[in-house]
Amino acid sequence: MKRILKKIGVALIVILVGIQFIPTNTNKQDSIPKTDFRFVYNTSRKVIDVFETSCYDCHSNNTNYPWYSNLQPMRYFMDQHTLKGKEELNFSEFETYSDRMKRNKIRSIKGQIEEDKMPLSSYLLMHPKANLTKERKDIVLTFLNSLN
Amino acid sequence: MKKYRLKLVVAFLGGSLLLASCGNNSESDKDVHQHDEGMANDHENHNHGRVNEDRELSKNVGDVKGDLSFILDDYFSLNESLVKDDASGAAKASEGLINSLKSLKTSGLSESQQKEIDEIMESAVENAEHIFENAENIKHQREHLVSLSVDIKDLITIVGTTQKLYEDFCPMADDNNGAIWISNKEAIRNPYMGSKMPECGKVQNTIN
Repeated sequence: MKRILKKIGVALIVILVGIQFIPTNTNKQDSIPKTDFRFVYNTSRKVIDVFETSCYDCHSNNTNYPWYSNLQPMRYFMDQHTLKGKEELNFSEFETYSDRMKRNKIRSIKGQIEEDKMPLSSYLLMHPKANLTKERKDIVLTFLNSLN
Repeated sequence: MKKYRLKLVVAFLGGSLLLASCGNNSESDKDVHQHDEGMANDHENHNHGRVNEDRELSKNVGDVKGDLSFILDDYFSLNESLVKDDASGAAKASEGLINSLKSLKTSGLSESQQKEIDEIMESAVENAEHIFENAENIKHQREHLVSLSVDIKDLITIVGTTQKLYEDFCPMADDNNGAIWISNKEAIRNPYMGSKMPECGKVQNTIN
């Protein structure tokens, strides 16, 4: 019994070490691109701060990586989130959307925030700062409503 | 003690592996793929039955720059599902709609019209995809119907159609922001309010 357990333990350690070599994506950009959301609309520092802290990790070309992001399997999940998030909405490339798509995106952002669907609760577990308090929610919703 | 520690390590490692497999997307990706194939086949059959009808239609084509009948049929059946509060029916209809949208062929469009069609398509497909993916969330489906209906309306304006259609408006839709939809029947069948208020709204425009 003991020997079997030991074998399993060794195997698991090998796997855990092995998965550390899974290739990762690094979603980082040194400067803010001209196509960024903040340049498309007249956004105040306050508004963009909220978006940056609560949305940009998964919805832009620049993720703020926490320390554990260097460990698998955590990094794998983060990469998946960022991939999917950017496909749905990318603040860094907002200018490249057509006017019709911009309108759709603004509508969706508003809906998701109003209904507390975003940021995802699983993301908030590890990023409590990203939580949209009533005050921060009001800041962005007031801004988004002013765009109509 | 040593044995205990080993068990602890095993439990921990086992736990993190379990966590890893929970988030594994490859299985569901495969599902979606198979689904896509099924979708394409469905669509082929779907088109077959309507070939004759098409020919009839193309006889009296004047300014019409493409055949929107497949797109419109799927869009109408999507709306009809939402009138009945049938979210899974709506998801199914939007699956057909995605295909119809992607297979639209147009001719004689100016460069600027083509650009606009491309933008409408991108938006309409995205809206239909959201409706397809939210078979459990009719509220979200209806949110996307708001912009999808604008896409459909603009598509009709550019491409044209020989069908007699109605642009309906409900002031209470979209959380009282008001929203339009396109219908092929004069009687109001409201996809936003569903069985709560199926007749809310009015015809605000007729096409043809």
